Amino acid sequence: MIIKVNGRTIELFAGASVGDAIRRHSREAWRNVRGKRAFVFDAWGNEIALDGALSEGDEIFVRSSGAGERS
Amino acid sequence: MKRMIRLVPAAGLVLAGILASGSGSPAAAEIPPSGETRIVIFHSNDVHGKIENFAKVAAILKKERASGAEVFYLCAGDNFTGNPVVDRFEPKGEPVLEIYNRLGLDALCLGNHEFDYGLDVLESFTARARFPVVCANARDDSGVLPHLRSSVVLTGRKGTKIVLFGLIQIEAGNGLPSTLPERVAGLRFEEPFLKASELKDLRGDAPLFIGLTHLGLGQDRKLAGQMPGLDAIIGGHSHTRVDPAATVNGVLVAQAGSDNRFLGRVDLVLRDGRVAEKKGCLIDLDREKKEDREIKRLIEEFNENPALARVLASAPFDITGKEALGSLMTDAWRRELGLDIAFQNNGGIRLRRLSRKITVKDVYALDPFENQVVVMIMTTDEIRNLIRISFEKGEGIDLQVSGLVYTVRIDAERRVQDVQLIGQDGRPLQEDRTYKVGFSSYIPSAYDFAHRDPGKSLGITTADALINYLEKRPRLSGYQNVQRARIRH
Repeated sequence: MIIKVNGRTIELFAGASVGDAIRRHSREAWRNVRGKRAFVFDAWGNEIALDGALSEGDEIFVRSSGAGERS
Repeated sequence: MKRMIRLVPAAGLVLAGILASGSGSPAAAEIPPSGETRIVIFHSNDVHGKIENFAKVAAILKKERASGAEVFYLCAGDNFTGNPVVDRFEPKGEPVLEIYNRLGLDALCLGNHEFDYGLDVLESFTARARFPVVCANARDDSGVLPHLRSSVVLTGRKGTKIVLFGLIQIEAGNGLPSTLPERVAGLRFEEPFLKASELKDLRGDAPLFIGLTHLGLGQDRKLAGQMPGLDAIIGGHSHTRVDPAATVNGVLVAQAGSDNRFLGRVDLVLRDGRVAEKKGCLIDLDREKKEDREIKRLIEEFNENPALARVLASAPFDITGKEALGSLMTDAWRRELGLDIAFQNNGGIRLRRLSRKITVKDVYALDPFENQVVVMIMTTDEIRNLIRISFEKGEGIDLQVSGLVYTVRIDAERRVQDVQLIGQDGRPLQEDRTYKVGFSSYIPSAYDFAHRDPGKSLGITTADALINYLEKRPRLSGYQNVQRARIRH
C-alpha cells in the first residue's frame, strides 16, 4: 500500500494503521504523536486516530500541537 | 426490509430545537414552525469495545428523546477488538450488544471488526439484536448470516421514514474486508461503489436517504460524489474526527472519531417533506458530565468480567525472560497462523515473567499494544538483513524467533559480520527459496529492512493469536533455558 505522510511517499503493508505509517515516516514524528505534542490529520484537515485504517493513496499529515507547523 | 417502529407515547407538545451549534451540546427545545420536523441522528463508529462512555451516550439520547425531536441512533461498525472486557466476555461482545439494545440503537452497519469473533458469534449477535444489521455489498448465498440485511426503512416515533443502506470496505487484493479470510467464509463481497450504483433509486418517497458505511472518510467522500441523492453518509473505519460534518456534492458526510470518545450528532430539518437544513458536529464525551445510572451500573458489572481470570494454559515452571516469553509468543503465531518463521521484538514483550497458570489477563499484560500479525514472503537474504538491522538497532539480540535459530557473528567493535540461520531441520535455510514470515506489525513499520513483498496484516492481533493458541494447548512445556538467538565473536 502506497500512501503519503507530509508529502513523502512511503510503502506499507496492506492493512497498516495510521500509527504504522507515522512510525515508518519518522521516529521523531512518532515520539511527538505518542507524546501528544503532535497530531495526525487527513487531506481535509480532520484529525485521525493512530489506530485508524488507511487506504491506498491516502495522504496524511503530522502537525505539531503548537504553531501548526508540520514535523 | 425491516420496519422499525418505536412504541413510545407521543409527546403532547411538538418540541423541537434550533439546529445544534458546533459545541455539540444537545440543543434546547423550542416549538418549531408549523410544517417542520426536527430530526436528530446520533451516531457512533469504531467503538472497539470502549464501553465506558455509553452511560453518557444514554443520558444524551434520553434528553433528546424527551425534547420531542425525532431521534435516531446509528452505528457505523467496528465494535469489537480493543477491550478485553468485551472481547473476552462470554459470549464474546455481549456487553456491546446488551448496551445497544438498551440504548435503542436503530441500525448498525457491519465493519470489518464485526467478523473478529467468527461468523457464529456474529450471527448470534445479529439474531439477538433489537436493531437491524445492514450491509448491502455482502452476499450471503450460503445463509451463514440470515439476519443480515442490505437496507432498512426506519420509522421514527413521529412517522418520519429513513431509507438506509450499509456498505463495508473491501481490500483491493482479495476483495474481502480487512480480516482473516476464514472469518468470512461463506460470504461474498461486492465492490462497494458498484453496489452503490444499484442503490441510487432506493429512496422511493422517503424524506431521508442515508448511507451508513464502513469505508473510511476518503471513500465516503467519493461515495458522496457518486450519489448526490443521499442526504447524509454516516461512516467509520478511518477513525476520523469530522467536526463539523463535511458537505460533499450536497451530501453531509459525518464520522465520529473512534473508541467512543465522541458521539456524532446530525441535525436535519424537514420542511414539507424535504430536507431543508442539515448540519453535523461531534459531542466530546469526555466533557459530558451526566451519566445514565442504569447503563453505568451495567458497565460496572461488565467490567468485573470473570473471563479475564480464566486460566488458558499451565506450564511446569514460570516462563521467565524475554527469550522464553518471545519464543512462546512467536511459536503461537507461527503454529496458529501457519507461518514458517515468526519474529517478535523485545520491546513488544511487556512482562518479565508469566506464572505457571497463564490467564487471559496475563496475555493482555504481556502483549498490550493491539499490534496485528503481519505476514511477508521473504527470501533468506531478506530474513538475514532483518536480523542484522534489528541487532544494530537494538545493539544486541532484539528479535525473538520461532521456526529457526540464528547466530549473529560480530567483530571486536560489535559490528555485524554475518548472520547464520538454521532451520527447524537443523540445516541452514535454503538460499533459493522464500519463507512465509510473520511478525508484530511494529516490526515492519519501525525497522528499516529490505523486503520486496510489502506484506499484509492478517487482521488478528498478536495477543488474540496467542490466546487462541493457548486455548488449544493447555499444557505448555519447553520454555526453560530457551536459546534461539546467539552472538558469536
